[in-house]
Amino acid sequence: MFAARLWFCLSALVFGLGSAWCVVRYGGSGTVAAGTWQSQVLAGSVHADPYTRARVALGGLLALGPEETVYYVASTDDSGKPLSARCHYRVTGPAPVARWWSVTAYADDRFLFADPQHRYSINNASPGLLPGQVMLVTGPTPSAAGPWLPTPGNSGLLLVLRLYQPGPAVRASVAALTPLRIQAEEACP
Amino acid sequence: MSPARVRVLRCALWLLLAAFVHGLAVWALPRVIMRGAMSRLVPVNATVADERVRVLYPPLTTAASRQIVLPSPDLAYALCVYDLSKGPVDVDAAPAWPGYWSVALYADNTDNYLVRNDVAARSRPVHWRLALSEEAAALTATSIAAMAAGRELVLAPSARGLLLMRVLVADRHGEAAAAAQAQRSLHCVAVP
Repeated sequence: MFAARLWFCLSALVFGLGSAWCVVRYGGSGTVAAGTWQSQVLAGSVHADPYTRARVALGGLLALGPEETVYYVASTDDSGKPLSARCHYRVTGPAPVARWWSVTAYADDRFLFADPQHRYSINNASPGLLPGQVMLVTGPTPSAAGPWLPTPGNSGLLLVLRLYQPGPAVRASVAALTPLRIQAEEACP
Repeated sequence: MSPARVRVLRCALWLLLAAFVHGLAVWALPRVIMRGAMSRLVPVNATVADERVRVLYPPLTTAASRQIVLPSPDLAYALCVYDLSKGPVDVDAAPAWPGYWSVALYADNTDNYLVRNDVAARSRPVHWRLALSEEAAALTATSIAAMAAGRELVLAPSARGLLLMRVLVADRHGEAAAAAQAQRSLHCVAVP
């Protein structure tokens, strides 16, 4: 009798915790896409639902609300292949409308790649950009094609686009961003 | 009661229990992570006003910054962890910075319940008195005291929380010293 009750409670506990983890980790509610870039619409907002709060706590704690900053994360290139630090990618497109934008490269543990020269992000003040354009290259070695974001090692790769004080179109709809393209420069294993 | 009815009831009870655990886990996760982050970010031996306020001026973000995921390398941060359960906390921020800066408040469930940037503040310093939402009589007294001290009263939705000042550093090599000065303009003090 005791064993049956224990099984009853434990199985409900495991199912409850497991389903919560799955929904938070892999569920897509509140996520909006602009090309291959994904954004949690209500990240940091007081109007966020419990799942969004949990998702943001796991993946981007201390986010600012969408009126102040919008965050987009890309983990695949335009063809849908997972990004890899070993490959070179060209990130191109019109500069987002915002007071400040930046593209930062993170390893798949969501922390910065080691770089002795602290080249962690390309932003609208970076040298080598044409006005109104984004053109940068990520990869383990420099490229002549544009400003370089080093991604040493063999890990996966996440690119995060931050828009501080975004323009009215993105403020009205996060999906209104004209997405930056992410294309592999060469065949990538 | 028939055995079939007992089975249905057991099934319903199991689902109810599982749903309760599911909801509790989703509700608790951000609070647990936030609590852990507040402890990790500002250790007890950091620059301490008293047990109600802890302040930290971390160096510019590098690959070695591993307390919080997805740290922004473009920002200099200064932060306070506060506890309002024993009384209000005064916040002063005067970064005197030519570019973007903001002061953001987070509740213990990770909500960013207030942010003031340089444009909204018209580049003027921020002087806040943080207090808990209280009963009307106590709130009136707190409000009068805040006004008398020349401060804007900010009501926090939770006793424990975190304040994060961000200063945008366009040139981390050339502006590091000025950014450090801007960081140090943040002060959080428990009101006696």
